[in-house]
Amino acid sequence: MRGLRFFIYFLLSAVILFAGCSKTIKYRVQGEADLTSDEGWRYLRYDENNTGFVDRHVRIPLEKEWEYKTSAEVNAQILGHRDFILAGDLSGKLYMIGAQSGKKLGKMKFKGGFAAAPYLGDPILYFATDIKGSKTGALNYRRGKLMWEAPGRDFIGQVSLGWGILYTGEIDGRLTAWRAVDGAEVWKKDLEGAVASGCFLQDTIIYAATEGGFLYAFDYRTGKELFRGDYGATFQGHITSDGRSLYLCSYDSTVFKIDSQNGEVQRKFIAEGSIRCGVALAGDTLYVCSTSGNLYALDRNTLRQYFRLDTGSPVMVPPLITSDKVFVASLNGILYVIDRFSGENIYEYDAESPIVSAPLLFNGLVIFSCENRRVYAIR
Amino acid sequence: MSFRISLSILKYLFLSVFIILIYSPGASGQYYFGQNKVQYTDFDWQVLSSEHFDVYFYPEERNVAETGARYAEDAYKQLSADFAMVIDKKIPLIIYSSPAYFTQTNVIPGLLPENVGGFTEFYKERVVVPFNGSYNNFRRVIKHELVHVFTFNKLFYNAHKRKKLRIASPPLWFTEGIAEFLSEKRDAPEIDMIVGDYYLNGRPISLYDMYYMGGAYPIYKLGQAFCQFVDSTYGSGKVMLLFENWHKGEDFEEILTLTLGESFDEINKKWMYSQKKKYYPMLSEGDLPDFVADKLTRKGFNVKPQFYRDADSVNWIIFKANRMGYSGIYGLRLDNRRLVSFVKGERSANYESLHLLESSLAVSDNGLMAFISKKNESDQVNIYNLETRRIVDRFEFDDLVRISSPDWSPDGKKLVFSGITKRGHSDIYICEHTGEDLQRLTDDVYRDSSPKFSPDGTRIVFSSDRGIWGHDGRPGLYLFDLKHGSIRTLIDNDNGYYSPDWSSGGDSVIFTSAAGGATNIYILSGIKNGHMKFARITDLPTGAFDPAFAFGDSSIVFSSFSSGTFDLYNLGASAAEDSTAGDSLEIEPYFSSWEPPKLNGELKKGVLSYKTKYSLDIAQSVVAYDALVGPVGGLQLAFTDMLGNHQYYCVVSNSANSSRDFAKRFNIAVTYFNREKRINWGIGGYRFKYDLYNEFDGDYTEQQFGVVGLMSYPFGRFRRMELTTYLRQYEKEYILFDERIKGLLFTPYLSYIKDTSIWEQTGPIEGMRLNLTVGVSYNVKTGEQFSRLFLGDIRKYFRISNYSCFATRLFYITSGGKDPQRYFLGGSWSLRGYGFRSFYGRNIFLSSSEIRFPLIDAIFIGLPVGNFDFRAIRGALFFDAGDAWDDDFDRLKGSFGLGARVNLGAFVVLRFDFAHRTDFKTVSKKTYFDFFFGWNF
Repeated sequence: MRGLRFFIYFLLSAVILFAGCSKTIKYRVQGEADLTSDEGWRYLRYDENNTGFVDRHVRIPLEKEWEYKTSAEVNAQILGHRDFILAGDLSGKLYMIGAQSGKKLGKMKFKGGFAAAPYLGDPILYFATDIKGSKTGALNYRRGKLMWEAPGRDFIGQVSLGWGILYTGEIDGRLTAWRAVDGAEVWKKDLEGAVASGCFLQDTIIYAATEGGFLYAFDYRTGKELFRGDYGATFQGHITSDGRSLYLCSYDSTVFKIDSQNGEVQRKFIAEGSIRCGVALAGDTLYVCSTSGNLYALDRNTLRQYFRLDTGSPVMVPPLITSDKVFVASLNGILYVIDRFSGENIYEYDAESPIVSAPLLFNGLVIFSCENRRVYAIR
Repeated sequence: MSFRISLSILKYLFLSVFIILIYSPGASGQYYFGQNKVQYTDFDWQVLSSEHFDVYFYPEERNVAETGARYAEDAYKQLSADFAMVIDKKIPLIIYSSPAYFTQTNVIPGLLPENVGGFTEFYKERVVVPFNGSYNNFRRVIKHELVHVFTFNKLFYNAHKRKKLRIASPPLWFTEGIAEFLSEKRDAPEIDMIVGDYYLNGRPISLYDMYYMGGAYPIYKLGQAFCQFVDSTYGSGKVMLLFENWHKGEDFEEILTLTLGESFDEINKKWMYSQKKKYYPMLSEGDLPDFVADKLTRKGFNVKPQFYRDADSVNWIIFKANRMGYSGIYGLRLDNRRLVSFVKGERSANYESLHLLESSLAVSDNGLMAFISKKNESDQVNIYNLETRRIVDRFEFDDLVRISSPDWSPDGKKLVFSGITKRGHSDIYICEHTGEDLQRLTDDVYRDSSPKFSPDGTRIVFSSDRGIWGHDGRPGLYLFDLKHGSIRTLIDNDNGYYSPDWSSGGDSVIFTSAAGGATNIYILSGIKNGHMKFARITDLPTGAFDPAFAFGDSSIVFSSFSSGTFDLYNLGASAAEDSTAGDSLEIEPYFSSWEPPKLNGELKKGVLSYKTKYSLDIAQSVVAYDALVGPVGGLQLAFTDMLGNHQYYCVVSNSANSSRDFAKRFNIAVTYFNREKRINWGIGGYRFKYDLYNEFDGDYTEQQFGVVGLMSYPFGRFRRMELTTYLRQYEKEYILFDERIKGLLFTPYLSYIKDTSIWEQTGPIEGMRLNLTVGVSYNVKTGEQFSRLFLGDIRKYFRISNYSCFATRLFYITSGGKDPQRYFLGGSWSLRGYGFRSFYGRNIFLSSSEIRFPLIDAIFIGLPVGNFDFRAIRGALFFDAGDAWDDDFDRLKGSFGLGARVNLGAFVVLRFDFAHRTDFKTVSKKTYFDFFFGWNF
C-alpha cells in the first residue's frame, strides 16, 4: 500500500513538474512523422539558388478549402512542412494548423508579434518577434519546447539560418549572429538604419539592407565587414539572389541589382508606387509588386520590363510563382492569377478582405491570410 | 507634448469642440446666447456614387460634383498607395458650390470661421469641401482632407491589427503638415512666407515650439516644411514609414526616433539647422520689407491697400484689417499717420463678413469706396462715401452668391467685379454704379478674379486660370477688350500671376507672382505698343501682396508678411525704375486650353436621391454617486443623418436607490431636431422622476412626463426668436410637508436673443449679448396660471484695448403663480464674495461691472513631473450688486474686488476672485476668496 501510494505521488509530481516546465503542450502529433529526417520539404524562400523549382500546377478556378480564424492579423510568411502549416500573428500567437483539414493542431503564445518571417527547420522553428517583449529563439514545435530565447529591441525583417548560426535584424540597426543550438551570441553589429530587409545568407556571406539606405556584407562566422554600400534608398522587403547578384527594393520605387561580391550597382529599375516587399525570382524573370498595384515582370539580367499588370490596389507582399503562373495578393482582397509569361490575367479569387501575407503554395493549396484575421486555404 | 490615449478618445481629439454643445440643449430654450448658423438655402440633395465615395451634391453644382468625384478617386488611388491601405467603406464627400453655402452646413455644429477651406469630421468620416471657383484649389483641398481620412484609418488599423487599445496621438502640426505635404507636392511659396518669416525675423521655430501653437495657418506650413525636411534628409518614404511604426512608440517623439534612427533632440537640431541654411542666405540677395520700404502699419493684420487723395489733397491709404478681433475697413492719413475706422465688420447684419483676404476695395477719384460684404445668404456691393463717411448705396444680385474685388471705371459710372453663381463658376461681371444693367463678360469654367479697368476704360485686366498652367493653380493675366468682347493673353506661364493694377498712364501693370520662389511684385511695361518688358520690383523672402500704384504712380503700396502678420508698406517709384530689365514679351491671342476632368465610366456607379438614414454618433455612459441623491447612472445616445440636418438625441438615466424603485426611477428623454431649413424645430418626449432638495422647498420629489416642442427662427447671424413649449403631467411632492402639487401643464416660453459678442480667451471682450424670455404655465384642466416667468439678461462690452474692456451686466428674473420657481444668487458666476447659492427668492436682480485687462500672456513651468503651460492670464476689477427676494425687496448686497482668470485650454477657464462685501453703508474687513471655473460673463 505504501509503495503504491509512493508511486502515485511520484507520478503526480512528475506530471506537475513536466507540465510546469513545458509551455502550452496542447497539440498532438499527426501521422507518423519521422523526426530525424529532413526530407520531403524544402522551404520555398527566394534566397534559393535559382536552379529551378518543383513544377506545381494549380487548378483553376480556385475554391476555398478551409479558413481558420486567428486572434490577430497574420503578416509574416506562413510556413508549411509535411502536413501542417505554421502561422504567427501580430499578437504573438503561433498556430500549427493541419494543412488539409484546417484544424488547429497546436497553439503557442509568445511575447511581441510575428512581423518577421521565421525560419522553419525540422523540428526547429527559429523565430523573432517585434515590439514589446521582443524575443528571438528556437522552438522545437514537435515537442512544444522552447530550446532557447534571447531578448531584443524589436526584430523586423526575415531571419536567416545557415552554418549553425541564426541571423536576426532589429529596428535599431542591430544585426546579431546567434548560435542556433543554444542561442549564444556569436557576434553582433550596429548598422545604420533599421534592418528592414532582414538577413540573407548566401554561401559564407550574410547580407543585410537597412532603411538608412545601406547594404552590408559580413563574413558569416566572424562578422568581418566585407563591404558596405550607401545607395541613398530606403530598403524594404527581403533580399533575393540569383547567386551572383542581389535584388533589393526600396521605398522610393526602385529595384536594385547589385553585385553580391562588391556591392556595385549593376542595374536599376524605377517602378510606379513604392515597393514594400521583396522580388520573386523564377528562371530569368524577376517579379515585383508595388503599392500602386502594379505587377512588373523584369528581365533578371537587364531589368528590362517584360510586362506590367495593374491590379488597381496596393500590393504589400511578394508574389507567389509556380511553373506557369504568378499569384499576386492585393489589398483589395483579390488574389490575381496571372500567366507568368504573357502577363495575362487568368483568374481572380475574391477573398473579400485585404490580403496581408505572402501566398504560400503547399500541398496543392494556396494559403494566405487576410486583414479579417483569417487564414485561407484555396484549392 | 503628445501622449498615449485610448482609441475611443482619439476620435474626439480630431473633432471640433463644438460637437459637445449641440447635444446639451438648455432647459427652457435651446441656447441661452450664441450666434446663429442660418440655413438660408434649400438644397435638393442627391448622391453620386463612385467606386470609393458617396458624393453629396445638389443639381445646380452637378458638373462640379462630378469633377470633385474624379479628384477624389484620383486622390484615393494615390493615397492608397502612399499609406499602403484600402478603406473598405464608402467615404462621404459633401460638396458645396460656394463658400457662402459651405458655411450653412450642419455636418458640424457651430459657426464655421470665414477662411475654413474644408474639413473632415470623424464620427461618420465625412469630408466637406466648398468650391470657390478654382479647380486646382478644389482638387488640393479634397486631397488634403482625404489625407486626414487615411491618417485616421491607418492609425486605427495599425492598432486594431495588433489588438492594441491605446495608440499615441499625432500632434496637430504633424497631422496638418502631412496633409499639406501629400496634397501639395510642389514647393509652395507660402512655406517660405511662413517659415522664412520665423527664421529671418529672429524667431527660429523648434519642433518643441510647434506643440504650443494653436490650429492657425502657420502650423500647416510648418508641419509641411518638417515633412519635406524628413523626406529630403532621411530618405524618401520615411514620412510614411512613421505610420508603419506607429504602434511601436508611446508617443510621437518615440515613433520619430524609432523611424529616423536619431533622438528627438537631434532631429530638432537638424531641422532648425536645415531651415537656417535655407533661409538665411536669402538675405544676401533679398531684403526684409521693414528695411527697404516705408512701413505704414504696425498692428493687426492689414491687407488690400488702395491709394486715395481726398478733396483737401490729403493722401490716404484705404485698407482692410483685423486689428481688434474682427475685420474692418480703415483709412490711414499719410500726413499725420492718423488711423480712422470706416466700417466695422462681423458686428451687424449688413457686414456679417467683409471677406478680409479674398476681396479687395475700390476707391474712385471722387471718394466713393466700393467694397463687398456678406449679408444673409449672399454678398452685396456697398458704396461708401469717404468724405461724408456714410453708405450711399447697396445692391445685390439674385444670381450671384459671392462677389469680390470690385473696381471703378475711370469715369466712376461702372463697376467691374468677380462673381460666383450658384453653380460655382467664377466670372467677370460689369454693372452700372447703381447696380443696374448687370452684364456677364466671361462665362466659362475658369476662375476669373481681380479685374481692373484700364485708365482709358477700354480694357479690363484680370487674373485667370484659363491657361494651360491654370489647372495646376498657376493663373495668368488676361485682357478683356470691352469693345470687341475678346480676350487676349497678357502673360501666362508656370509662375502664376495675381492682383494686377494699372499705372495711371495705362502703359504698365504691376502684379504679384511666385516667379522667383516667394511671391513678389513684378511689372509689365510697354503694354501700349505691344512689346512688353517683364521685370521684378521687390525681392522680399517673406512675400509681397496686393500691390497698388500710389501718388500718381510715384510709389507702390502693398502688403507684406513680416513677424507673423501682414503690414502695409510704401515703396518709392525708383524701385520700379531700378528693377532688373527682364524678358521681352508680346500680347498674344488666347485659346481655351483645358476642361475639368469628369468621372469616367468605370468609376461611376450611379446617382441617387438623398435619403435620410441615421447612424450613431455618440454613445456614452456615466455612473456616479451623490451623497444627497444616491447612485445615478445614465446613458446618452445621439443619431444624425449624413448631412446633420436631422438629429435624434436620447438620454436614459436611473436614480433608484433600491431594486424596488428601479422601474419607477427610470428617466428618459428623446428629442428630434430638424435643422434643414431656416426655421429649426424639434419635438420630444420625456419622463423624469428625481429626488431633489433646495433651501426653500427642502426635500421633494418631482415627476414630469410630457412632450416638448422647440422652434428657433434666426433673423440673421446675430438675432433670433425661440419658442419652447411643454405639455406635461407635473407632480411635486414635498417630503417634509407631506404636500403634493400636480397638474397637466401647458408651458410656452418665448425668447428673443441677440449676440454680437467678440471673444478672447477668457470670455467676451466686445459687443453685446441679450436674452429676453417670457414664459407661463397653465393648468390645462383648471385653467389656472400655475407659474410665470420673465427673464432679462443684458450684457455689454466696451472695448478699451486689444485685450481689455469694460463689461457690464444687468440681470433680472421673476417668477410667480401657484408654484413659482425659486432662483439662487451668490458665487463666482453671480454675486461674487458670497457663498454659492447664498440667497434665493422668486425674484433676482443682479448688476455687474468689470474692467478686464491682461496680466500675463503666457507662463511656462517645467517640473520634473511634467511641463505646465498657462496662457492668457487675465485680471478683473469688479463690482457686483444684487438681491434675491420673494415679496419684499430688502436691500441690495454688493461686493467689489479683484480677480484672475486662467485659460487652461479647450473649455476650461479657472477663476480666482478676492472680494469685499458691502451693504452700501459699510465694507467688510474680511476678504472673501472664491475659486471656480467658467468663462467670464
